[in-house]
Amino acid sequence: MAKLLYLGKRARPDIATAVAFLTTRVTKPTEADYMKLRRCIGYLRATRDLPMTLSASDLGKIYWYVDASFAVHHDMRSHTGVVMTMGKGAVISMSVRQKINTKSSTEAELVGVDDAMSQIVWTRNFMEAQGIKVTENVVYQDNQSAILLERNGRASSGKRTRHININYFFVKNHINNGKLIVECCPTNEMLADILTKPLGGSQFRRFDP
Amino acid sequence: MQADIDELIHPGQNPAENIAEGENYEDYILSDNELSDFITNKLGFTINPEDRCVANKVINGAQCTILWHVDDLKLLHIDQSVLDQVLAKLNERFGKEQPLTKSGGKVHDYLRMRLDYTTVGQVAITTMYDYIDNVLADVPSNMQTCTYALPATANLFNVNDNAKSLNKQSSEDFHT
Repeated sequence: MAKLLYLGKRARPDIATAVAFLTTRVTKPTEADYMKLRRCIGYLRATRDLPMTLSASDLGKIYWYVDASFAVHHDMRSHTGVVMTMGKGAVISMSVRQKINTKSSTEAELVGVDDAMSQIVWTRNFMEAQGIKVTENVVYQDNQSAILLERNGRASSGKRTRHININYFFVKNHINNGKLIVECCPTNEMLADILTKPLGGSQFRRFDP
Repeated sequence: MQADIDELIHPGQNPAENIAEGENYEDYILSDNELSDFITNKLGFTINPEDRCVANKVINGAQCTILWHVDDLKLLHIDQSVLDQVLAKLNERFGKEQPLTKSGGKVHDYLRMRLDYTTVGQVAITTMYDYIDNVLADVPSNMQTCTYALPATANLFNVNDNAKSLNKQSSEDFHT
């Protein structure tokens, strides 16, 4: 699993979702888990030569795609997927089970952004320390309610979201400071979709690394 | 895993020099953990506060960047002669017993990835062939020939509490 993790983190983000699940099964694996591992290995064999291409149209423009699949895990936790691109290819990618249980897909999306915020803040700081002026730092999401909460905080809270921990409005603070903007993107253009759930053939191939 | 990676990359460098994307990329293998001190105190580079393994200095009006992973360095500057000067200083300090191994050009092997800068404005991680082959060679016999078009099916996240546990050998295979 450790070797697959390294591959998923480097040149093969296309296996990251499968690997993220399989790493949760190493202590008590079942025969079904073994078959899932076998499939992942078989996919790797079939696509051994698949390259990953990265390009940057402008070093000062950083685009994040953050998505979440609600309550997909056995313990009803959701799954976060994150892609950072500067033009083509995923420079940074994450596929992780969320650390807390959430009550709605909107809350799961907020937790997803919070999962990504450390990387988002660090990346901007790193680029600026390298002498590169970051002119665009955009987070794309496909959930309008989550975007409203991130932009407006409590002001956009209703009955279903009033309980959400204030920690998840960390992103709002960065929006207010002009360090980040959050934009809506259609689900079929959400690059992080592949990192939140297993996709079928044509949907999967849209996200060629 | 880290140690394994480092062992592999040491012998794999090919000396060649070239220019890609308007900058020069060179990898130098060193064998001294005093590297950071030398780069900052002797060469006058400033460490990037966000990453202790990246350092910068403006030389001849352009930024020179050194980044490193343990003892594997990458140098970047628009002017090849600047890279040669920095390399000479590194060699003077760390190459007394054996000259540093250098790899320049448009294709680099770095941390088991082959980085290809042939197309201007992009880098292709063209392969981790050796690494993938190593993974595939280590799998149990019942995984030696299977191929699939997708890494997972729709039931990926499903867990059956009543499913049969793996036997000890298969559990170890799963873990490694």
